[in-house]
Amino acid sequence: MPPKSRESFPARIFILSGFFLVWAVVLASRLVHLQIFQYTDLSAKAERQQSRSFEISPRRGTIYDRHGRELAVSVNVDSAYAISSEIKDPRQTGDALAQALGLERQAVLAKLKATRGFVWLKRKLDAAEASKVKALQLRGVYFEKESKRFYPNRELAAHVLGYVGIDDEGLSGLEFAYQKRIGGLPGQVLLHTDAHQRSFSSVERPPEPGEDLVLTIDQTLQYLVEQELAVQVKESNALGGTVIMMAPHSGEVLAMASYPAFNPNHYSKYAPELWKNRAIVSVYEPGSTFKIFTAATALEERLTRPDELIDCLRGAIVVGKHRIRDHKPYGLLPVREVVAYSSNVGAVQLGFRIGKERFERYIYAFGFGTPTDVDLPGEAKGLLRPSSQWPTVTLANIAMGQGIGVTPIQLVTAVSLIANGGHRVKPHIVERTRSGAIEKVSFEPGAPPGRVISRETAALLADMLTGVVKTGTAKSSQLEGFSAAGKTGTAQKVDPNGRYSHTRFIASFVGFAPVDRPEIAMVVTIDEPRGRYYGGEVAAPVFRNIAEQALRYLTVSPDQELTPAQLAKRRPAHNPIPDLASDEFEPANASWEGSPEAMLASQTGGTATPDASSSGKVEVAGSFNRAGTIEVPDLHGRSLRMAIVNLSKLGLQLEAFGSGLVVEQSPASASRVEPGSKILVKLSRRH
Amino acid sequence: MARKLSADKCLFGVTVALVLIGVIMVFSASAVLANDKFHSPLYFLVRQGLWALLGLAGMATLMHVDYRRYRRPSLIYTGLFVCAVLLVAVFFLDKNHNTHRWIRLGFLSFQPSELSKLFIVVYLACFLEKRMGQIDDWRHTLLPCLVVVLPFIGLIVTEPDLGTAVSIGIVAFMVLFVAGVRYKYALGLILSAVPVLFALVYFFPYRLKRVLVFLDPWKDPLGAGFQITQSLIAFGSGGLFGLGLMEGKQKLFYLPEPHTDFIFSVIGEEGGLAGTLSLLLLFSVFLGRGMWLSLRMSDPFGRYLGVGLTMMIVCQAFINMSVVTSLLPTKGIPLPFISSGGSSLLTSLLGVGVLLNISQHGSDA
Repeated sequence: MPPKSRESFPARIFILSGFFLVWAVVLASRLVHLQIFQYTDLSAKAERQQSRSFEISPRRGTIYDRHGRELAVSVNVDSAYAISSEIKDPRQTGDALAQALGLERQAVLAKLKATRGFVWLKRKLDAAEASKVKALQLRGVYFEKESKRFYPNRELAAHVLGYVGIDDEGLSGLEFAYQKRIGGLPGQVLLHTDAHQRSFSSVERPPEPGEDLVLTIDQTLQYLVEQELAVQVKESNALGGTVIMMAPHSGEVLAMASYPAFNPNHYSKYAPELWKNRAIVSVYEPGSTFKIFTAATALEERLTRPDELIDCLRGAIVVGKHRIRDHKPYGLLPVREVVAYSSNVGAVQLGFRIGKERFERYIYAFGFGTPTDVDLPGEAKGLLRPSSQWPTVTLANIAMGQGIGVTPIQLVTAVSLIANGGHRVKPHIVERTRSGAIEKVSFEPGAPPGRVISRETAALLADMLTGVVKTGTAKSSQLEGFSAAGKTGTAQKVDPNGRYSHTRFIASFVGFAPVDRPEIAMVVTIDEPRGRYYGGEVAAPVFRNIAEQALRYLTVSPDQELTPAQLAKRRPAHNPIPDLASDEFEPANASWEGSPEAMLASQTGGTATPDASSSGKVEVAGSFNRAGTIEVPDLHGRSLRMAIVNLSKLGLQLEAFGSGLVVEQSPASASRVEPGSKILVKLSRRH
Repeated sequence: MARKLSADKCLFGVTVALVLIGVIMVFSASAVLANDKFHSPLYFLVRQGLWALLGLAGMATLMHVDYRRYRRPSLIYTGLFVCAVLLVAVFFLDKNHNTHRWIRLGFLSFQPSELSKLFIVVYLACFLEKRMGQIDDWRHTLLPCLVVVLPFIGLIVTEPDLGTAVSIGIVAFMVLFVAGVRYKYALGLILSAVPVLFALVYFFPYRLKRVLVFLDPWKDPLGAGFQITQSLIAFGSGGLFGLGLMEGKQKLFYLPEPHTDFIFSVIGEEGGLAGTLSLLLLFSVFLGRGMWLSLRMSDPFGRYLGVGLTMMIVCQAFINMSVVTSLLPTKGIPLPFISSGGSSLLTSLLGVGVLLNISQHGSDA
């Protein structure tokens, strides 16, 4: 053996061992790095891919009107999702899906390729889409039941109800304001999944259903108000308008409408401008309607009496460098006529008697300058500068309704105060919430908000405002068979140059009826009417049309004889509420005849709903009012939507099972049930 | 002549420990998978257990066969010939479309490439002992070696099984190295292997992809990087002490081949750093004992055979561990003793049997 290689063997063994030693150290450090230093990061990655937490959406509470008619309901619909790794041929599957769902082919393909796991294809499919996709029987495509909000009356009370987003979260209106209570709590399912997306364990928390809301809104009145408002806005070529009807003693909002409206089922297809609820967010200078409160303050402070003569200075008064004019020159006018003829000069003089600080105190007491805290989101507080910053001309302006910004809800609340004898009321829309069988009163009157003006002052004002309707600027608001009190306003809008416009106005009317026992207080504003623009010409007729029908619907006994003129030209052309006293009225169950399309087209309020809860005060008895029971209609063959619409009109509730068309119902048609009863229907796709 | 020693107890113990760990981990890693594919969670466990028993029996037998009997050229060349025939046969026998690695005999399936490793090591040890005096003469030593070894490597590359081919190449190189090949020849061998490897990677898109993925596995964790990133996630979520035996989640179809090539990842997830370092330590002890007993040998055949067999196991183990921790590009290569797979386990245990016999012949000289 040559000594050379004899010696080299151990050396080479050591070199080789050294090489492996280094390798082992590198391996060990790599393991330490992965398992210690990257532990947090990598175990989070593991957690993310191995478990997926699904939310089960809870049942969203139903929103009912004051008589239990459904305004917003939630229905279960299918949402389609894919597990991409299970799809063998994404291109082919993507094409089929795109066609069935009406989506872009590229967009679907991109979704399928974005991940190996779960991806939503399209959420909340309509019935046609769902059945199309189901018929394809695609591998790796699944369905999940999700709750979809459905507004059976479409535009009705859209601004009050608001709308919900794709994840069932309230985005506006009551849906937003009461999200926490009607939204419920989502359930949680934790799925541990393997790479094939099969689950092998789950931890669950059941969803808690949301509470139901019962509103003070009356669906029939709401419909009436929206109809009349829409007609007038269109006739006067106005930009829009709003009407609020309030129960003046309680502050309950009976109806609240903004026009133009939108359909909350498809809110995203409308301009965001249309989503805003003018009744609570639009701030405008009230103009003459505000003179009510100038007069109220002066009377309450005993600074004047209704029959005191005020010198209206033949139509103009100079305040500092400004000259304030009347639309018509008046001489001596009693205060009641200052209000009736809406004299600016007279109002300014009353304002000066009151003085800045005192006037400011009253303005706040009437509820201006602060939000009314009605239970809707986004309410404006109006514009009112502190009196310490008022120049004299501002005092004069405010006395006649300029230089102050108010919202329609503030105005109707303040007028309610005069109607109810001087008490402040808190406007509210949600009366109760219901959680299963447990009812909760949502609105707590709490401590009485207090009296702002005395009963006597309120009575004097009511009397003065009745005069406005009878003989003053608001003659067109005179009702058939009912006394009414109110005041018109025609406020000039401010042009971009900061001056009052001579072409752009807000015509308004505030008032209440009947005068002695007011049941409704109302504000009507029409934004930028074209042609005729005076409040008396544009807004007052809306008040009249609504109030006459509403009072009859509320079965208030007329307190006025009809004048021969009124008798001659009985009803206005469009009349969504039947005259309960006339024999033209069709009993509710008769309305089930005729085609479903016609029914659908007529929407709610096509005929008045016999209303058991108001039957107690009926003095003019309607023939429909039979022992307070309702005949169950035949729902066979109707869609879910139609069934909801039909039943809600009768004041009945629906509980549905399955999907498709109605195949069974209980109780059977033609049986009689209590108002508010639940009708169970079974739906099926078999025809 | 060396005096008779008892077999190396340390090497024996380490081997048995590794086999046991393997059987347990194969069950843990494969139970769900086996239930899914073969409707029995015990499918791979039973197979691994049977192969382990067969392997241990083979090891016990070879322990008592004097290693010097393998010097007989008739045995070596017959063995090499049979291996070569089998390696050619797989191309016709293995019906698999893409790879031709297996010879199936009913219940059992067998990889000829595994058996080839053993015979190549024995051949090299025997041949180099004879040419020890001329080790510097490349024409009489290196060239004949390459002429015998390269066709085998070529056949295995063609299967294709680059991982096994490369590990045979490395083992052969290391035997040549310890036999005393000049450093400049050794360097030449490495340098000439580089362009071949480069070509084998560069001109085969799937291999090139693996190398590119290795450079940045997190670039495409759901596509090309899926295997390796899932392996890293398994190690990472194991932490210090692991999730516990059977508790791993990554074997549930996230890890590719959790019971074979990626079984070390399952050990990392379920046993944590404690588990992985223990396994690394066991292989290091195996290496140390193997080197030590080779060093004690007085005859070159014993030395080269000892080094070759030790390398055959340790080198493959280190490559596997480096691959699954993303220190080396992905190559399909099992972890000796641990990974499910009969031919690998049997070959390894037979190799250890020979090593244990060698250990009885060492001298303290």
